[in-house]
Order: sequence, then structure tokens, then C-alpha cells
Amino acid sequence: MPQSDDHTTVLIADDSELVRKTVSRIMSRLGYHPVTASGGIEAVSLLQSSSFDALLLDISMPEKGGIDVLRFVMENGYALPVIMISGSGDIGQVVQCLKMGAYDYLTKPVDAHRLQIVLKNAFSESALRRKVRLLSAAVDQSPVAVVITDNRGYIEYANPSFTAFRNALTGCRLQENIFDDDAQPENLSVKFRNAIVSGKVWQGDYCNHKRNGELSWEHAIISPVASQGESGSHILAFMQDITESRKNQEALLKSNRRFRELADLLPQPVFETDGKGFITYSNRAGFSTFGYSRKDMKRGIHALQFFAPEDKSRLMHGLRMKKTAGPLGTHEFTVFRRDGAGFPALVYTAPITGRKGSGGFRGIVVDITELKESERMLRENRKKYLDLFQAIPDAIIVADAESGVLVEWNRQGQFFFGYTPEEFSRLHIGDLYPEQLREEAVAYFKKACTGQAGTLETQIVTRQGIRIDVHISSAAFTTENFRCFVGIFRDITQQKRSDRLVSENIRMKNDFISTVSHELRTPLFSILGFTGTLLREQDELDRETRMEFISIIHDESKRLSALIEDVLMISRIDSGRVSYKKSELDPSITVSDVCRSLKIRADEKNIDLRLRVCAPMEHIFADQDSLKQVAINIIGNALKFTHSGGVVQVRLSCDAQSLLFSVEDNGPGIPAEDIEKIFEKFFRVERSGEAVDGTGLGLSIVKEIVADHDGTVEVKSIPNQSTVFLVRLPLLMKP
Amino acid sequence: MKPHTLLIVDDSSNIRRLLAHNLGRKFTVLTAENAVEALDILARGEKTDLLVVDISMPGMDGFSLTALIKGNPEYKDIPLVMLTAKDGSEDREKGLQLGAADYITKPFSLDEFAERIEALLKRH
Repeated sequence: MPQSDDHTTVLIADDSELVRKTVSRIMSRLGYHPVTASGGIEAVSLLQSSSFDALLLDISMPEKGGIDVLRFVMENGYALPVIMISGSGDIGQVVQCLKMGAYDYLTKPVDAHRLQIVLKNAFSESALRRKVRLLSAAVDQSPVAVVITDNRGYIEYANPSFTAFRNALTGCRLQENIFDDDAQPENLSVKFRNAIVSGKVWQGDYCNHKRNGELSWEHAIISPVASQGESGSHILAFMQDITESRKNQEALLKSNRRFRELADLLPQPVFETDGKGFITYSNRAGFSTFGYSRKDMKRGIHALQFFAPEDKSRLMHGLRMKKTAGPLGTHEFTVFRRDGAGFPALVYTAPITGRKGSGGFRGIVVDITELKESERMLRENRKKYLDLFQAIPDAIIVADAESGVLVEWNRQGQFFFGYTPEEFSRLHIGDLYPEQLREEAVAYFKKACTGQAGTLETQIVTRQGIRIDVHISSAAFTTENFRCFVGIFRDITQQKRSDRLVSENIRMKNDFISTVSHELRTPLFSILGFTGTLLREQDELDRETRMEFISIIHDESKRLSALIEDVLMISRIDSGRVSYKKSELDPSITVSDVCRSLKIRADEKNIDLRLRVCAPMEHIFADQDSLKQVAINIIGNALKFTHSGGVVQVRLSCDAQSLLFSVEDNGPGIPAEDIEKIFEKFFRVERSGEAVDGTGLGLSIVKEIVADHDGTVEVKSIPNQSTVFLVRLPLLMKP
Repeated sequence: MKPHTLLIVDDSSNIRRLLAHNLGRKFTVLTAENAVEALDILARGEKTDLLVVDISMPGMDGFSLTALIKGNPEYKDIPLVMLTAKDGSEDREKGLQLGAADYITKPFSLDEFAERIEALLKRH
């Protein structure tokens, strides 16, 4: 405390005004601020109300003497030096005061010089005391253990923190106390001792057992202390329990190591970048996958060099967004190895945050080559089966088993039923059937779900309302957790038609056989009857009758023979066994021959048979015998049905492509209702009252032969006026 | 003088000739080429004890003729034999149902035919 501080206030308590004045004057002269009290009572009251830096106290005062005031000061712990003023020089009272804690004493009359010295000493000692009090309080309360030993290591002082974890007793050696040899790293105590002996500061960590036996880590600073000019007289040690922080540090290191190990275990590259995009960390997989080394990373690898140039702007944009948006995002990129080979990958990134947020990113790269490949295979497979499904020529419909609503159909299904996909998706399986068949069809599909449906033949109805005969086979299957049934619809219209044709053919064949047998029986009956009659009655019959019967037999035999020929012909044509010997021929020659041979019959019936050949006549490619047969049958028919005196005109001409062969008669004509039937086998136009012989096969044969020559035959008839048969045959193409 | 007269209706002149010749030895034989002619003969009041009718004839066929005759009270009792070249049992049934007394399929023995006709006439 400075000596001449204006604020240094000194209280002067004396009952003598003279002394008070004298001392006050000295005080002021010395630069202190004097406050006076005329007695002990006043002095106590002033002490209680104000703060003073020193007290000059007269021992003998009336009422309350100096000793009482001193006691008050001491008892109340006022930290101010008290200097007693004694008048009589009573040494007994002075000694008592000093024992009670007074700092010094002066004798009256107060010598100014001595007062100055006493006060100066009092103030400096008071300051020193404060300092020591502060220091010892600091040391006492410090959480750091503080120990002072002599230069041999024997403990002279230990603060409470030290004694809290060490059984420190004054007089023990520090080394023995702090070092538990079992727990020490090697040579620690030697190092420590050497350091101390050579007067150096030693500082280090070590492990020790605490008082309670727990192992703890401590950090110590031990230094020699020079005291009272004697260097190395004492040793000062500071010790701190660092178990906790060491534990934390270890945990941190451990977790750091664990993270690295974990990251190295990952088969996917894991990386971190700084704010500029340079790689600052990569796990083992990162180096091996991309073909770089740690050394390369130290030299600087920029993250962008892993990406295709065209991806870079997308990548940068994604990263920029990531700074403000969510923590993790995925991007699919093609990434490149050092050797230039690329592979598809998902790159998950997140910005690096935290106190030291560098503006960089960390992320993981997932190679999706295999995923892509299996995706591609899946797509291809799916496409293959879809194409297959679409290409199946039968209509296929898939419906939800629960609701019956259609869920899938192939192209043929769409085409077959005539619905658009939108319409299909609104349909129920029952909607595909005519109303009266619906129930049966739906029941059939219900059965399909139980796996015992088999097949069904029914009819469906198209969007246009057309009914089609179908054969359905069905099955049920489960996909993506819903059950479906699939129906395969096969159009059996053709099959039905051919079934019908087959049965029709069989019926016709039966009819044919029955008709043939009937046609054969009639002449046969005649022949049998007349020959029987001739045999039996040969002697009785006259020659004329015999001749009549024989000619009947002859006629019937001829008819039978013609009939058999025709039947065989038809049969050959029908079964496709007829072999035409086609060649180039002039039809006019063939037809002329036929007309010549039929001239006799025409003459017999008095019919005018005329032939007209229109030039130019082209050739045709045909079987001559068959052409002859056609001409005979048609012209023969005309002669047969034309009345006596009538005219039959045969005409041959050519147009651009065809030979036209027509036969016109002016006979009774063919009734309209029969026109359609005349080409049927064994059909004979009935004429009341007139029996017309013939096999009934002639026009059937004509029709078949003409068809086999790629021609046509048609007939026009006006009853009681005329009938015209017109045959067209293709002309031989001229090269 | 032969006691019975037969009327043979057949569109085939050869068959008419054959039957007329053979049956003519035992019966008086009338012939008709078709149904209309046959009905004409009956309508003329010609004595007819038995009819032989061919089924397949142009115009009115044997079935229709039989139905007409059996539907006419004047002729319904005249025994009628149907003649056919068809052997379908359906035709046979149909003929018998219409009232035919017998049904004969061509070809047949002329002697046997004559005997069956005699038997029918006797029964009548």
C-alpha cells in the first residue's frame, strides 16, 4: 500500500486533545488522512461505521480504555494494524497489548519520525499478510493438488486437493507417495528423480492408484524452488487428476479409430471433400475401386474428375441444392476409374456440417453395375414374355379372380372382342358372353380358381354384338398378391363349320348311295323282270313281243351302263382321283364332233341342232374327253327337254380372257324354284305327265369338270320360252 | 274272264310293260303313267280291285296319291300295294300308315308279287 495515499485513513483515538492535534498534524504531513476519536466508545463506533487503514490507540482513556478497543478489534477480526500509544511507559500494559495482537507501540510524546517508521512497517506487513492469506487461500482451495517438499522430497506442505486423493502425510517422501511402481511406465521415477536432482522442471503424465484404490491418471509439474537465496531448497509439485479427460480423449481416439475401421470395412467407396471439392478422405475401398493411392490424395484429387464431363453441371447443381436442402440425396452417375473405365453408380452425398464445417461433402458411391444388368435382364425378360403374350394367336384375357374385372388382354384378345383397352378395363368377365350364357361362363371361371375347370365350349359376344363359337381353356394364378384367372379363347367357327361340313358330307354321301341304289334298281328290275319273263315264256311269246322285251332290256342295260359311268365319274371327281390329261386344244373341233354325234338324236326328235363358231377361235388348255363330256351333257340335256320341232343353238365365241360356250334351247324352260338345284346330284326337273330318262348326274359332272378347269357355268331360263347354259373357260395365255 | 282287275301306276313305261305282261296272265291289268291318269281311271268308274302305286313319280308322288285315295270314301277300301326302289324303312312306315296294304321293294320276284296280290285279294 503506498505510503502517501490520500485515501490511507488513520484513526487516532486519544482523550488528550493536544495529542490528537499533534498526531493529526504529523499524519497530514506524512500524507495520511487522520480521523480522530476522543475516547474508546467513539473509536469503536467509528470503526463500525467506516473503514480505516490503521489505528493509533491510547491505552489509558476514561470510560473505555485502549485495551478494550483493541480487544474489540481483535475479536471482530478487523484487519488493520493497531499501534498503541502509551503515556506512562507501563511496560506491563504494552506487553499485554502486543500479546493481544497490537502491531507496535509508541510512547508519549509521540515522535514524528518514529511514528512514520512504525506506520510504514505496519502498512507493509499488513499488505504482506493479505498476500499470504490470499495465496494460502488460493492454494488451499485449488482443485490442483499442490505439494511442497524439501529438497530431499520430504513433504512439508500439501493442500486439501492433494490429500483428497493421496494419503499425504507431512514427512513422507513425495516420490514414494505419488508413484505407485506397479502402475508406472518404465523409468518414470528415474526420469523424475534425475530431473529433480538436476534442478530442472519435470512435467508428465502417469498412472497411479488413488486413495480408494482406483487407478487414475495424473498430470504433474514438479519444479525446484529457490527460497531465501538457497537454490533448490524446496520442491513444488502441482498435480491434477486427468483420468476423465484422458478417458474422453481415449474414447474419442477409439471412436475415431472405429469409424476408420468401419469405413475401411465397407465394400463401397466412402469419401470426404473439402470446400473446394478436393478429396480429403477415402476409405480403403475408395482407393482400390478408383485406383488411387493415399499419396495421390495428398497431391490433390478433385472429386469432379471421377465424373463424366456431361454430368458435371448436374452434379454441381445437386451439390449446391444439398447445401440448403435435406442432408442426404441420391444421384445416379457414370463414374470413372483412374484407368478410364466407367461404371454406373449411385452417389449419396451430404454436406459436412459442424463447428468446423468446411463446406465440403462426404458421401458414398454404390456400384450399381450388377443392379443395372439385372434390371436390364428383367426388362428384357419382361418384354420377351410380353411380346410372347401379345403374339399368341389365341385371344387371352386375364381377370381379377375376386371381382371378375378384366386386368390384361393380348392383341388378339383386343382384336377378337373388338374392345379398346379403355373399354376392356371397365368390363367384367361376364360381359364377354351373351346374356343367356353368362351365368355358365362365370361359373366356369369361378371353378378355374379352384384349379379344376377344364375347358368350355360356348359362345362369346363381341363389342359389335357378333356371337362367335369359342373353345375356352382356363387356369388360375397368383401374382403380386392378387389372384387372377386367365382364359384362352379359341375361335372354333371354322372347326364347327368343318364339323358341320363333315356331317353334311356324310349325309350327302349316304343320300348319294341311297339315290344311286335306287337309280340302279329301277333298270336292274326291268332287266331282271324281262329276262325272267323271256326265259320262262320263251316258247309262248311271239317274235314281236320277244323283240320288244329284248330291246327294252338293251335300253335299260345302256341306261344302267351310262349311270354306272356317271356315278364312277362323279365319284372320281369328288374324291379328287380324276386325272385330267390337259393339253392345248381347239374347242371348236371338240364341240363340232359332239354336235355331229348328237345329230342323229336331234333328227329322231325332229329338233334343229345348230352350231355356230365365231371367229377368231382361241385355244384352251383342257382335257379333251372332259370337254366332250361337258358338251354332250349340256347339248344332250337340251335335246332331251326340247319338244319336237324345237331349236337347239350351240355357240362358241371368245372374249378377252375366256371361251364362251353357250347352248340355248326353246324348250319348256326350268321352273325358277329348280334353277338352284339343277347342278345337284340326281336332281331331275320334274315334268308332269312326262318321264325323262337320264341319270340326274349330267349337270353335276359338268359343274365339277368346269370348276376343275377354272371355269364357270351358269344358266338362265325363261319358262316356256328358252333356257341358256353358258360355260366360260379361260383361254390359253399366249406367250 | 279274269276275276280281278289291277291298276298299276308307275312313271316308267318299261316297268308298266313288265308288270302288265306278267300280272296280266292272272289279272286284268290297267296302267297309268302318273297319279292324275290313275285318278282319271278310277273316276271313270273302271272296276279296280287292287292298286299298285310306285312311290317315286314326277308330279304327284305315290304317297300323295295313296293319301288321296285313302281319304276318298269311294276308293278307300281298295287294297293298295306300294312299289319302291328305295329300301328305307321310313318310307315303308309312311306308306303303311297312309293305309297301304303292302310295300314291295324293287327288285322283286314277279311270281312272288303275283302270289302276294292274290293273297291280298282273297283276304279282302
